[in-house]
Amino acid sequence: MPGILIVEDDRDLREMLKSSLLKRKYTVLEATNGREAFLKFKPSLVDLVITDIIMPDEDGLKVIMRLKELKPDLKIIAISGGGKAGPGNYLNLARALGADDIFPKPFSLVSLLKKIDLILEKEQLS
Amino acid sequence: MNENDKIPELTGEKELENRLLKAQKLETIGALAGGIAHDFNNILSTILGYSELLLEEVPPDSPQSEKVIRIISAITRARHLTNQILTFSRQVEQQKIAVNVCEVLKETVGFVESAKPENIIIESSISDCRVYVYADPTQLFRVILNIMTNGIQAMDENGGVLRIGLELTEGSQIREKLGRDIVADEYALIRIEDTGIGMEPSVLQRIFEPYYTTREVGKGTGLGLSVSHGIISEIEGEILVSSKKGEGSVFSVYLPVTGEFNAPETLVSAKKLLIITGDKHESRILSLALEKSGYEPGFVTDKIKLRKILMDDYQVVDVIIYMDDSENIKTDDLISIYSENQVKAPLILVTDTYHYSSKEKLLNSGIARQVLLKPVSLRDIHNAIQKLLI
Repeated sequence: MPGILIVEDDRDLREMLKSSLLKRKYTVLEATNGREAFLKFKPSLVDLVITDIIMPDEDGLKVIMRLKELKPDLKIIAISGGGKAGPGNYLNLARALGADDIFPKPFSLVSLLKKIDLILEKEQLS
Repeated sequence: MNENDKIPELTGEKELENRLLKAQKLETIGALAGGIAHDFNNILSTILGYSELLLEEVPPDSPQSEKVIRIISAITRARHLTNQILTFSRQVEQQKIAVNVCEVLKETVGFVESAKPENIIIESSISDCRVYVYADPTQLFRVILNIMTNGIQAMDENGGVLRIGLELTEGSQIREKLGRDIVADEYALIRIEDTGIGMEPSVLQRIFEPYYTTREVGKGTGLGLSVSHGIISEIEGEILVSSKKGEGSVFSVYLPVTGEFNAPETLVSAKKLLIITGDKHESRILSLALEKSGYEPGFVTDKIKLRKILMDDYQVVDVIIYMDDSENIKTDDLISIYSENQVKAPLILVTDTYHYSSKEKLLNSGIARQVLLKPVSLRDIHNAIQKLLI
């Protein structure tokens, strides 16, 4: 099954994403910030990354840039809930950096899961 | 009432110092509130996610499912609130375009006219219709509507006159008054004046602070003016207020005039939009904005017209936007119209009650391809349309 790395500093939110992805039989890795994401990332294991944008210790924009360098065809979904420069701003920047989709918080879990299924389904077909 | 004879004019060092302190205070509150809103959005994501999962597990139409839907609807309200706080703290990006101020004012006046009490007269002197400012038109509408509504409420008991005017002033002449850097040669000055109960100086000092309200509990959130302040500051404008107890208030909104008429954003291909709505006024503002971005929006509020448009020339409607306030066209109507006429245009659902069952129906039938939660900005719609085209 495809592997997903969740990068999110909010524990409850991370837990929710993890349990619902595991239920859908995805392989799940987690990180609480950007730095941890760089350590845990395995190009051969991870097909998609869900990353928060504003986090202590290396933010989500760095995550997108670094991981895309390591694996150019990596799929990325950015999620954010507002911060210094505004959620719209950061999320659009995330898209410009190569995120495949962006979800402003609070987002619908059902929509996010549908989107993930869609992206990874397409990926497997190609 | 003349602005000059009622305000102790805002000049002098003391006044400027006062203004600066007030601005710093708002800035501090903004940073704090923005930080809380950010964390709150994380928490809301978790509550919303689990509620959605729960909804999938309980039988539809059961009492349990009804309760979960209520939770989801409450989350939508909370989301609206965090959005307002983020707007106040200037952490929501506005979709700025060159906006004709006069058009927005006329739309707002029209909207207020239709809803105002009889004992209130609206006088508008908006003559110069060539004034453009760089702003998000839906947000500007919100600000003007908010100030006008406050004016009407101030005249609640005895009635009165609400005057609204638009004029141009030179930047160099208002430098001192604004107490901030002048960013344009010319400023649009929107004056909204009421003959209501007026405010004490102590109230005037605090009206832009979030949750500061003089209304009874439950009659307003106390966020309106602070959100307005955030919106206007973001476009480098300023709101000045003068007021006298028993005589009324004057709100002066200064906006830097833009010289350039910015070109519409380049679109991939969708142009013709059809908006299904119940609220023509708000949608007209949206349509002005969409036009400026290069779209060709149209409106429909009833079934017969919708059928006619889709039957006659449905090929030319690229995207349909369905606002959930459209009383006359319900979800089921839409589904049958889609299947009867074999409509191909993708639909964007805009909803605020987050009525899950109706949303699901539109999604499951493959008609709604994007869902947006209110309040939507021009950018949200823009992004949704772009997503449909990928």
